[in-house]
Amino acid sequence: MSIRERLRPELSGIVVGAVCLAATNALALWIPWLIKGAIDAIRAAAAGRADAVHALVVRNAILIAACAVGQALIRTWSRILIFNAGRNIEYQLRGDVFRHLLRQDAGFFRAHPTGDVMSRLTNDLGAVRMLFGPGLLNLFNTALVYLTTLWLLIHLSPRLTLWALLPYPVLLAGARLFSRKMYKASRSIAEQLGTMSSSIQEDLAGIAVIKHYTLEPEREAKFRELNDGYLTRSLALVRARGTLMPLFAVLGGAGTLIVLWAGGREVIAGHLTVGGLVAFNAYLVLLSWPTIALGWIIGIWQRGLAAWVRVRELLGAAPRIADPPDTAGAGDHTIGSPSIDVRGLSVVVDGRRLLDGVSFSLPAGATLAVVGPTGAGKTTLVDAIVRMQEIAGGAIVVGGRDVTEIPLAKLRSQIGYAPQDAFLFSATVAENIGFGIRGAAPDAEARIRRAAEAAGLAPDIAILPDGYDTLVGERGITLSGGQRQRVALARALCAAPQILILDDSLSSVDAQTEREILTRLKPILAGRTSILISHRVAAVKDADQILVLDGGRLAEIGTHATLLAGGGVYASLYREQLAAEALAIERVA
Amino acid sequence: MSAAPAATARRAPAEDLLGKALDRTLLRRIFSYVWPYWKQLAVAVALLPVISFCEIAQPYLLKRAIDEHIAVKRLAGLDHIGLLYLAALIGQYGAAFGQIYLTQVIGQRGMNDLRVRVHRHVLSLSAAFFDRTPVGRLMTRLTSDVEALNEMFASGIVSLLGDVIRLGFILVAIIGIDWRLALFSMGSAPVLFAIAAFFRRWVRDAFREIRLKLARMNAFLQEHLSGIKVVQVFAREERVYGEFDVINVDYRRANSRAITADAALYSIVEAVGAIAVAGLLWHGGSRIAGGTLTIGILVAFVEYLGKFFAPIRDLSTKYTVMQQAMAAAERVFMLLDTNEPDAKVVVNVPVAAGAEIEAAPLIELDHVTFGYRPDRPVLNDVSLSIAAGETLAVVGATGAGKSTLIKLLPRLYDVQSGAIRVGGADIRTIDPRALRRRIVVVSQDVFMFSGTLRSNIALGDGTLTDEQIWTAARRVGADRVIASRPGGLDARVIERGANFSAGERQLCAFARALAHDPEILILDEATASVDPETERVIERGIGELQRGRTSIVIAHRLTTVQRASRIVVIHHGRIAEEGAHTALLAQGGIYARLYRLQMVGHPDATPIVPGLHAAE
Repeated sequence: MSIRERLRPELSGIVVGAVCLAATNALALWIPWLIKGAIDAIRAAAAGRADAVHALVVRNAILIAACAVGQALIRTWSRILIFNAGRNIEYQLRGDVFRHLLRQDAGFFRAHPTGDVMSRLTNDLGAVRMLFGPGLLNLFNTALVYLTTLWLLIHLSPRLTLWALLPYPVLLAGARLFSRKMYKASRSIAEQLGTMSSSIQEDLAGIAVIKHYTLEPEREAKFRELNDGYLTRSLALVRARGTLMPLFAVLGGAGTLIVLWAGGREVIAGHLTVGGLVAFNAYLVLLSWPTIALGWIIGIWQRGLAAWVRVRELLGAAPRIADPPDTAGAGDHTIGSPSIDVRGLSVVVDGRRLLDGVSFSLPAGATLAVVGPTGAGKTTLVDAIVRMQEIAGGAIVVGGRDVTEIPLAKLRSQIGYAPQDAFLFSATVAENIGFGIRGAAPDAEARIRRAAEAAGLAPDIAILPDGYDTLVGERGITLSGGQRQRVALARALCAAPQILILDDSLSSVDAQTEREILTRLKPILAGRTSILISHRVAAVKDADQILVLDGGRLAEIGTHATLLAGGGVYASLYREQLAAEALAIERVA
Repeated sequence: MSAAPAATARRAPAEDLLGKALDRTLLRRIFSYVWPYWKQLAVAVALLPVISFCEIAQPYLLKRAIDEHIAVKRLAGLDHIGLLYLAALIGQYGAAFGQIYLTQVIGQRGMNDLRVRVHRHVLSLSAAFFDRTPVGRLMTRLTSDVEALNEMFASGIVSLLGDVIRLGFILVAIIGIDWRLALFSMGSAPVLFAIAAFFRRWVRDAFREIRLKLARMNAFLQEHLSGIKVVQVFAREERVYGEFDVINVDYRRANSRAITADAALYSIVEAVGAIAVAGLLWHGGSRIAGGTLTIGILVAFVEYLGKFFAPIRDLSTKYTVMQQAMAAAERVFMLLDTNEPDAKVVVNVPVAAGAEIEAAPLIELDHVTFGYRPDRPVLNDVSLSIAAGETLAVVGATGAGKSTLIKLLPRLYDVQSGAIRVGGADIRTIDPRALRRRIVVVSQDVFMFSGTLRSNIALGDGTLTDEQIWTAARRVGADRVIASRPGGLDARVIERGANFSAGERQLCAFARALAHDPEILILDEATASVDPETERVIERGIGELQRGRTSIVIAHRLTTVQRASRIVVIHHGRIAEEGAHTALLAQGGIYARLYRLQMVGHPDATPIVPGLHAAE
């Protein structure tokens, strides 16, 4: 949407506000008239006829008071209307940007640090709002005052008006020059603010590392450097703005000088009365305020436009992973029998080929284990299946449909995914576990409890201060790594998905708990298509198929027994693990 | 238990109890950041009378031009006056430029200093503070709130001073002309003060609300942008948007209130001004009729009153901006005042004598009791000594207190009772940075800063050469990671190291540990995310490091634990068993049970393996 389109819904409010402003200014012009009338009357009264005049004065005084009150009300109303219009636009814009962000893919977030995005959503949007609110208001006000004053001036003396307007072309040229400078400076400042926000965000998110490695001096130095950069850029804007406004004022004042010179000659030549010149000058003085205000308005506009460009950048990026175009259309998209077929899958990120022509077939209800050395592409594979990762080549077919033809929400709501990084929100344990429950499920509590038990969390929750209602995450209790991981596991289970994907979900638990969870998972996994990623033999050996990835390629595929017998990558990977356990068994006896 | 979130209902309680600080105190504190630039400030203030003088000169020159030249049709000398007028004009706006520029520079520099100060203070706060404060809220204080203060300077505290000076001059003038009329005219003053007092409350509360809502919005954004993967994977975009909308609407509503208050204030002041003039006309009119006043004086008064209310209107606009800045200042200074220092050096704790330090074990826990919440201890009367060069393994069920132990050693938290000594000295008495430099912790969660691989592995140690980094990396197999990226050590690391896999990040963490070559190495289930082969390489590399160094290994997998010289079993926050692997097995206690469970799957099974004796 362009600026014009954003304005449209608020147009009625803005127009009414502008009309009110016009009315205010009209009333403002009337008051001096009333004052003049009262004073003339008083002057006349000094020469006799006191009573009638007194009534006139009282009438005018009351009118002035009424005018003042009326003006106050209307002006208040106009400000409220126009400023609220600005805020409404800000609200809409922020909502639209956020909604857009929610659908962006990982590639977008890699390119846009969190702190910078936040700065755009708050600081930059604020500058845009200033453009629509105070910017517009003052633009109207200034325009109105200019128009009315110009009319009065022309009414008095058209020739003198022409003289008075002489400096204005210079003014306009100056305005253009400084506008560009202020725009550039504003862009530069906004960018630096974004960079600073990112740096601060990192400082706060990584505070534990900062303390452990005594990085305080280094991070402080970095911040100081960024801060100084911000100062330099701000001062550039100060210089531009600081030059502009006095320049305008001087040019405006020069108008008075010209009028003095030209007008003086007009009066001396007899074309104009002294009173006329005085009046002309008085009105010209009225122009000085809006001229100065114009400088200020230009500042706000440039800042707003610079910020608008940054906000638009966030809106402009089309998500690379999106719903298929014909979502509303044909047929039932539910995944019938959730078999998973991967055909020649290739994934390229930042020029690196993370997956290269991987193919396999997982029948419905079967369990696939994915193993392989660090960086082999295991997480990339499951990310591709859930469409969290863009595909460079090949296809993924789930339940007989290509995943690119299934609406994202539909696909993902059928899949329960426990990612490697067990991120928890600032919410209760119950809310975190129940995150995937859609709609108002009356049996939500039961489902959450069952999922927690399956994930081996029940004893841990029992000793938490508020049980399932304990607040965790940023504002709550810090759970241990193992506990967080199990909450993530429970979260995936709770969604009661038809496909379960567990990425290294048991790495942080001790062997006993792992065994217990695996036992409890068995019935859940039975008959449910699942993919398990793990480094632990215990977790994978009972899978229907084991897929070994190495360097992005499929190295081996088979069952635990066949792979061991085959003596390949799998066998050597796990030989050590099995041997160590065998040795341990020997010692136990 | 409720599954539906009531996100709006929850907020950090400390946020609401914002100090209702006095404006005076706040202004004084803000001013203290401007004070270092007093020289520029002095010049800026000195320019004010220059501006006023030039301003006053112009109408005077105009009057002379008209009266003495134009009206009497004397052209000679008009140009001279014109030049003087131009000079006054340039003088006025030249001085104004100087004043505005200087004020803004001072403001920017002051805010600069404040930002650095707040940042430094935040980094010095304790781990407990960060445990309960969302990142987004802190970010607001450091960025948006300080920015709001900037606006106050931009509007010009100095120009505010200028307005006050102008007002002063006018007051003097009208009292001088006719003090009785002056008194009458100033009758509107108490009204103005009353209005200001009323609005102060309204406007300030509105702005406080705005800043609070802004912080909440930032916290929400921060959290959900960080966890965007979870949001998308569970297809909860719409619901999260709904939650955001509530906060967004809230923010808009808070702003609406401020808009109304501000608009009303401005208009009412304007109205009072006009009514004051009306009153003046009415009163003055009757006095003229009574002969106690001349018209000239009345006209002059009307003009002066007009001039009086112009700066007052200006002040009312500035007033709103000031209130906004005050609301922001309250929050910034509250953060600065947060007195929760991280690992403050304590003096009234018995310091060990020289000889004791010599003979002491390297790490000593002496009847340590600790809990994140004081009423719920996680570690209960734990006593443990670790000699230099020893490798200690710590096992126990989740939540037993293992990781807590690790957090206490570098003094991220202070014990509630008992003492921890490193090198014979109570850790509370030594410089926390010196202490932490001796310890390196490698845990399963690896945080990487945006930058390069080099900066992340060297992390804070500027003396490490590329050679040393590569050597450290090679020892744990992290060289593979570096080599796999174009640019090698210069390879870009993005926010949180998201462009590396979990296993790759783990390898970098190990390289980091090795490169720092610490006296005390702590491994907290650090090899959980890597494949067995890589784990072997790491263990070999670390094993070399561990020789001659003190290390503590927390492991769930008992295969890792076996090589330790000593094993400690923690159960419900206490040390249940202690000893070497075989001894503990022989004891047949918790450790033996855990071990059998892991290896065999049944606590009491005795697997029959041919040709076997307990031949150790």
